Amino acid sequence: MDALEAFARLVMLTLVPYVLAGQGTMLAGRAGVFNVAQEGIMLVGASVGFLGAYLSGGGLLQGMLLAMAVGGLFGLALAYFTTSLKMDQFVVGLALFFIGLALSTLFYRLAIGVTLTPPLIPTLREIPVPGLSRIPVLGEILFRQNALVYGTVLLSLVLYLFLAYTGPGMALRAVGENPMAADSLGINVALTRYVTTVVGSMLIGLAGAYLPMVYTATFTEGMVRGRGWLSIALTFFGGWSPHLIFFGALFFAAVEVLAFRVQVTGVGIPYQLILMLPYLATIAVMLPTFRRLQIPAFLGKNYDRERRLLL
Amino acid sequence: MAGEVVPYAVGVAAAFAAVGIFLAAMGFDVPRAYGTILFTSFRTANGFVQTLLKFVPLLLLALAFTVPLAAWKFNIGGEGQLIAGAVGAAAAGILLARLPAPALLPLLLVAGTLGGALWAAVPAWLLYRFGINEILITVLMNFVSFGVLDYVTTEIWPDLAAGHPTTVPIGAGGRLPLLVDSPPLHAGFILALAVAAAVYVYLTRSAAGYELRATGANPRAALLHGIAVRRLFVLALVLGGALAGLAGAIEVAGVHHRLIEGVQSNYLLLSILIGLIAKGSTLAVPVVAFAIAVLDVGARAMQRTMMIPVEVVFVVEGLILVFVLLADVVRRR
Amino acid sequence: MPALPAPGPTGAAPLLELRGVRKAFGPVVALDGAHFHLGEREIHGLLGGNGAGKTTLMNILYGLYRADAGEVLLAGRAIQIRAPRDALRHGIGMVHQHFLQIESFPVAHNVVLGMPSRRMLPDLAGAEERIRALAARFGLEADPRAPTADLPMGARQRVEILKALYRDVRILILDEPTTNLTPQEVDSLFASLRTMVQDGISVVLITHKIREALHVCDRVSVMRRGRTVLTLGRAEASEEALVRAMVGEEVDVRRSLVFSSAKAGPRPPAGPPRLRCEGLTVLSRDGVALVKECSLVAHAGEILGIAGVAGNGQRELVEGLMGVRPVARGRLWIGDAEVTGADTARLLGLGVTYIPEDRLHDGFLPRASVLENLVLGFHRRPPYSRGRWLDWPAATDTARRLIAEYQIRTPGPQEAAVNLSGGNIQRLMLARAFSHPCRLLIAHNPTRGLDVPSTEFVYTKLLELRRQGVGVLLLSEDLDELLVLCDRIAVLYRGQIVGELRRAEFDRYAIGRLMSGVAAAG
Repeated sequence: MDALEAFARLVMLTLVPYVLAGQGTMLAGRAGVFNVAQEGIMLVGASVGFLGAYLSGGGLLQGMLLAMAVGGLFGLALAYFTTSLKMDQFVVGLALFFIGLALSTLFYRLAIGVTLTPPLIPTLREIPVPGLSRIPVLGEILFRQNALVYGTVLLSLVLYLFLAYTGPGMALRAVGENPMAADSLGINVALTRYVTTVVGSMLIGLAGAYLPMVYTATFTEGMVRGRGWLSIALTFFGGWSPHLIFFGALFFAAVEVLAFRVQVTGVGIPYQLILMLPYLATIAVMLPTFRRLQIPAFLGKNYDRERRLLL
Repeated sequence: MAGEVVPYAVGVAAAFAAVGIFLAAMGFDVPRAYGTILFTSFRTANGFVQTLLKFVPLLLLALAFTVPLAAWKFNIGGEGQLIAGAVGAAAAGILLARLPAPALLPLLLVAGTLGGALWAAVPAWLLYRFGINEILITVLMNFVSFGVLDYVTTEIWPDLAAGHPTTVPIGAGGRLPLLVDSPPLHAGFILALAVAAAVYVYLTRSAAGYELRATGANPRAALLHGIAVRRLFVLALVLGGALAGLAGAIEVAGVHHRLIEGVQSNYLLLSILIGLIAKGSTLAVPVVAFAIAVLDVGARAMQRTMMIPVEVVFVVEGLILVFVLLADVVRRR
Repeated sequence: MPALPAPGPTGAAPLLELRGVRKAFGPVVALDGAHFHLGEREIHGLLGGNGAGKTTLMNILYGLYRADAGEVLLAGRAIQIRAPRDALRHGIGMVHQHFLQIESFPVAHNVVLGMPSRRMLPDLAGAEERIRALAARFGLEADPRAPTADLPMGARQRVEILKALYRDVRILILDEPTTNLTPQEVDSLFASLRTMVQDGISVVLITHKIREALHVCDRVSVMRRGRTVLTLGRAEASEEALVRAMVGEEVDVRRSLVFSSAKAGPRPPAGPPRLRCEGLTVLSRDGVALVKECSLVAHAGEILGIAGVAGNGQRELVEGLMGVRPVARGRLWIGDAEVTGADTARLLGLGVTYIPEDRLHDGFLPRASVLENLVLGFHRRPPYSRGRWLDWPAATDTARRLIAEYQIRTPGPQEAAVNLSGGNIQRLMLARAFSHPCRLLIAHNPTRGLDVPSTEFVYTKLLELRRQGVGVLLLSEDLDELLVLCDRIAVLYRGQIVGELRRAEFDRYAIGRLMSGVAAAG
């Protein structure tokens, strides 16, 4: 029971960056903007998140806010180039991925330089929920976690209610399904795309900052290890719905924890296979996923009011 | 033609200027840094050959990105396909090490090309059969290939005497002949240029090449006019994989003469950058690839001699892409 | 035809006035000082051929486009309309030609979408009630709970109108509303419009059909080439005056096919079958039959028309015939060759030419040159190709010839096709379609979106091909077009051929009944 409990705790801890990045991708995508720069934004979020915390003497909140701000800037660039300048969304996303990648290492090198031992920041503390954390089993798993775990659960719930039941949520969905219809009814398509892309990228930046603040206490090149790309897979897997993305992340997190466990305990399987497991597993779950047409109709397409031709 | 070059020139200048200001503000010697970046390739014969050696995989990987791009498919898996090709080539080179050169070398190159093609066949098939977005799968396959590479270099044919993961050397017959002995420039350079020319002819003159480009321009129109669009997507991705696999084989046969961990270097990101800056034009790709190779050699020299991180040059290159894309937008108005 | 009550007073001061409106899209001038007056409680027809500027003018009024110059006056006061939000605030609503609905929403959501509200959670129960009340009042039957994707065309249009009425518009613009309706549904629509007028709403009816304008409108304004050419009250308006205003000197009205109502002369008998299909069945992804057991024969030297309201399986039928969609059951012959299950390339190789419905989305390569566009579909045949390689010099020669013959305005074959104006792109598509000799031509709405001279051209070309012995299968949602051109008309309803009439039997309302699914008598 203990091992299972520990496993479940780790899964809750591990799913945060997946969910944050997934919801961030989902938000922009439901308005029609297909962000593929997550890996770069998460890297730069990890870098500036770490640097913000380190240079402010251990202030994790400062690091998080800085990561969100930088993520938001990337989102602003994506929104501007695609929504206002009508450039192709994949091309812009790839360019931003590249720039994020370069900047993440550059910022670190310029601020820290080369050191023998890596500089460290404190990690996120657990915050037990008074009362609830005493419940056997569930209390340990769900109610003795760090602030971002709680925040992520709440965020997913809020996003679900927002999209499904509110008027503005309906408007957002309309923008991604048929921007011409939304436009003709007075909804500001461009503004919706801007807001969702910027907010979404802020979440992605925060997802990146989570990594040094919870796992390694420092920044290393390539520490995102493909989670950005995996979050795109997660978004499809979750049918671009906030609640399904949350539950889907349980799977992705479980695979990651499992791979780490097996690697450490050495079950006799070559560890390279274990390393490949998250990616192979993702490919496998994509198969049934793509059959369901839950994808926003205008995902990846730019909208130009005057030139109705989608050229 | 002049109208084509001016936006590039302006974009390049603007990118260098922007980063230059930033560097100056941080107190670095900008003229010396830029001099190192731009001219290291041309100061010594060794520098020039280093540039050409980088140029070969960059050119082939950029083509591995731009050929599928003609059908508007994004192959981000060049890295994995290169590794798969390198593994295939190394396997041929080690298992058949005793074969003489006229037999072993072509076998090795073919094995590499096939390896890359097969690696790309996975996302191609998933796209064909299930409609799964190729960006996702090609990238995931990259990560899978790292595991494969590690396994091959540490478990299957490890060279236990070496300090880091690498295989035993391939047979002598598998080495690419040298065009220049010192500093060593292998014949892969000629091969890569020939392949680039073949790709150009294929895309512009053959019916299949036309169909690829029509599919990329408007898949629905292509479908309604008799073009087998779904099969073409597969063809485009597999061709891309083959080109990347060939790059891997050339790295094994020409540069390392064995399979080493890290054979893929940073070529993937740079190759995508090259493909995007060249806007998918097969004619522009070799030129941009050469320029990026020059910048890469220069950047490493700069980091060695002036302690300025190489990422500075990456940022410059990223900005060049952004400015070139912007120039496109301005021209459309 | 049922008579409508006399129109309301037309002497009142204009409720809405558009003055001196200018709009250019790049080098193309769409509106050149157009004007328009709308009175209180009137139905005002805005008549003109495609490209005349009618939709552009109304889009400016609705805030979807910004005019380069001109002003809008509402009840004598100048107003600024920068976006649809402003138009709606001023009580102006618009029903577009292509319905703007979110397929996955139920009707009520589509109606309520975007309405400013103080609460976060919309009152859907109240909305449903109000929708039902409006539907009953104006004779626009609609179920608020129904999923929009399942509704037929007529119902979807009613939803579009309800969207505007829900927002208490005083001015309602309808853009070609009868395109997707059966003759019976058209009558029902016009009756609803009359009720709206009695309630105090003014209606602008954009149309290119003169008969409709004369039938229901109190006043008619004619636009041509971006200008408002003529405005007449119903009493003074005659078909002749309107036609002349619509086309000016461009078309010889007496010999025009577009405006002919008389049936053309006797037709020679048809030749051997060029297309034959038996029991053709096409299924949707969920196994629903979109085309059910269709059997057709199109002969050499005849034009077989397929009539029907959009959404009754036309697209699926054509795609099944052309090998674009898999066919579940049935057999197909082109001439004597059985081609059941053949792919599109084989059909094209057997001499079938296909003009798809949406010429831009289905036939145009934006990032390619004019030359590359002309070659599409024929690129594996001489003179364009030699074996597996393309013969670009030969192709360029042919391209130059086609550019001259079809008067496509472009600097040359190497020009990027996306730089061409809309009209020239249409000509490019037509040039390609007619550039190679064929034995069977399948055309789906070939004149949609074309201006009057181009429509004339296509009609002339189709009759010419017919004379040359080509078999023509013409699917059209424009009944007038079919009545002018066809030797026989088959009617498609819910994927089935429900009746066929020979030319001597052509009757608009009989065909209309078949289009609505009413069983044919006898």
